[in-house]
Amino acid sequence: MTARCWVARTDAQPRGAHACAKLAGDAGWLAAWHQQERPCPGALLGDPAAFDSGGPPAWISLAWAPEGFDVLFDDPAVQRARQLVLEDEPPSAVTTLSRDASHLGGALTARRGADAQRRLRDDPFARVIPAAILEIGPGLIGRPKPPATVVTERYGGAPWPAEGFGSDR
Amino acid sequence: MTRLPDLELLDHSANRRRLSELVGGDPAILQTYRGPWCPKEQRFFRRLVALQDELEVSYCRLLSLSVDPPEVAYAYRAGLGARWPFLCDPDRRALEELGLRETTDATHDPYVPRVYVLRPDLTVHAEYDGYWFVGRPTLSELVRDLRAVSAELRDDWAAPTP
Repeated sequence: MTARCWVARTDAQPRGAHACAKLAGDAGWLAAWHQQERPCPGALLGDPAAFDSGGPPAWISLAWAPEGFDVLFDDPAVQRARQLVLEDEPPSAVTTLSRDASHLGGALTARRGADAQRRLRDDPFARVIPAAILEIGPGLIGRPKPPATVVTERYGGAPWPAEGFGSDR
Repeated sequence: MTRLPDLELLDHSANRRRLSELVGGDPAILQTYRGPWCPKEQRFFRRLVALQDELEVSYCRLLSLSVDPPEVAYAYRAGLGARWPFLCDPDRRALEELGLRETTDATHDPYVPRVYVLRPDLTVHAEYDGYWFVGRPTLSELVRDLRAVSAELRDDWAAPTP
């Protein structure tokens, strides 16, 4: 079975992460692990294509559901957010973050360029889950190709927008 | 069995894409179109925009291709509310490779309107010549074609039962 991609926010630089980067100010670190087991409490499942230890800095809109905030991944509001991502100019990277097979834990949308911070104010996922716009240093956010498809469903258990059956994590 | 070449083109956001990458492992529709100025294309795109709500839950893909540069395709796509990739061939290299130059329009030098339903290996399951509008596929015909390709492709096409 292919290793999963776990994403977590930590106060200090995490150990054993595949990729990590510091958030600006005192906002801590964001990290990704490629492994089957959850690396720490609260870690969520993301699309590994969004993460690269060689990735340059970026601005991100990080929507992270607080404990007890349950949103079904298939909720129409979440479906609409995925549609809006596909309608708009593709971000530098995007991934839903899943708590489990049924529930959305959040989403990460990254942009680069002069108007990145402004563009992130329109993050569709921020309409569903509270989001913070943060500047992130190098070492985490990749440069994946934009979604190739109109499909908004998940392929098996893989986080959106991972494509193709057999990419189950 | 005709197979389309694995074209490499810019998309509406000026990202370089390959046809095989955009089709992935799914059944796909590839539409070539004249341009936003053509009333027949405007009408047919309304049909495709209606279809996208079904494709998004069908694990089937949709691509549109014209001679428009990315900035034109981007604006047209946004105006339609389309959520699928638009491919751009302003140099008309893919047009020549596919043999789809519409010779009657010396002004725009566009693609002949065609719709292909493709298997993941880019072989053509069905082809529609849209030079006359009623030659274009209806939504029912496209769904029928996608159903046939999906039934060939999906190992679990028959619903699993105890």
